[in-house]
Amino acid sequence: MKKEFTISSSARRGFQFNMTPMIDVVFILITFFMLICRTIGQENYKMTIPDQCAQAELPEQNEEQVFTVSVFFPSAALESADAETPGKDASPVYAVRAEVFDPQSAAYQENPDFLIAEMATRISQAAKKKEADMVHLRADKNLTYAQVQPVLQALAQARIRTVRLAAYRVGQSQAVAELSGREAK
Amino acid sequence: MMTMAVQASRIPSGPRRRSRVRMQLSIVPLIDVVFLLLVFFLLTASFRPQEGFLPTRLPQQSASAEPSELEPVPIRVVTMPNGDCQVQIGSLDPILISVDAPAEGFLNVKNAIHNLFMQQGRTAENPIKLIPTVQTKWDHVVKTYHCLWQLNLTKVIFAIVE
Repeated sequence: MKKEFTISSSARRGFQFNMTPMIDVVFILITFFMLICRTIGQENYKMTIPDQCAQAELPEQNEEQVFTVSVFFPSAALESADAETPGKDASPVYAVRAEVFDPQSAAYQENPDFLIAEMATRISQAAKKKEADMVHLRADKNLTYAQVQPVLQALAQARIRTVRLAAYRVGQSQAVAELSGREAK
Repeated sequence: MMTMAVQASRIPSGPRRRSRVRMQLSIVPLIDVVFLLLVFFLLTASFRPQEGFLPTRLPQQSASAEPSELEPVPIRVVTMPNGDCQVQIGSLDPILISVDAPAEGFLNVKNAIHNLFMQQGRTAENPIKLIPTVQTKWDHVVKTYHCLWQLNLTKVIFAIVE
């Protein structure tokens, strides 16, 4: 007798699309985004770092014994200041990892050295915690040297030996264009 | 009696009984939510260009630091009100770097430093003192340091300005 293949017979055999590996992969992706995006956001504040430094070294993939110190204009200051040269009017803030220090607060305005000492303490603690002797210094290109100087003093006080100054290897606009090109691919 | 016997024979026992009980977890809503989360994260994630780094060594505040035999070469970096930059290496004439063509200007700075070191017989071990002003842009400080980094001159002191 000839055996016929019908829908009912295939259903009886249990022909199903196996969703389990796909769900596994999707969960891994979600976990990745939830964890990594949070970490990146904490230490990498939005700012325009210096560009056109062709010989700047690219960081290695697994750099764990490094942490970031940032000097940047808070978004509120940028909105009220001249967008092209915010350094003239806006006041920057400092951040050791994700902890922000505002030099405009009363305690620091009375005694600017207290701000440096406080940052130095936090830098020492972060260096001890991460067993790091190297710091990434990310500072907005529109800042003045006087605005970045307290961080350099705090780093020296905290006995940090190596400081790596963040800079794009190409122009800012070119770096963004390269990134969008990679995403398109 | 007859009826009860038939019923008893129909009741499966052991593993056969368990196999007929179809307990299924509905994963369709779970997949929906997971996909929504995935799409959300993919769309809201902001990517940024890869950053490079210029390593520098800060001088340590310790008494054991040995004073250098040679005086450090002073490099003064000034940002002009119109956004141009002026770099003076030692006692040489200042080099003006236009805001429109910074790459060419800093290339001149690099060449001038190289020539000075060659003329004076200095090596990479000789210190350099980078002296910006209060108003010097951080961008210009980093670009000047980049010139030194390109020449393998890493013994740089960042001056403290008042």
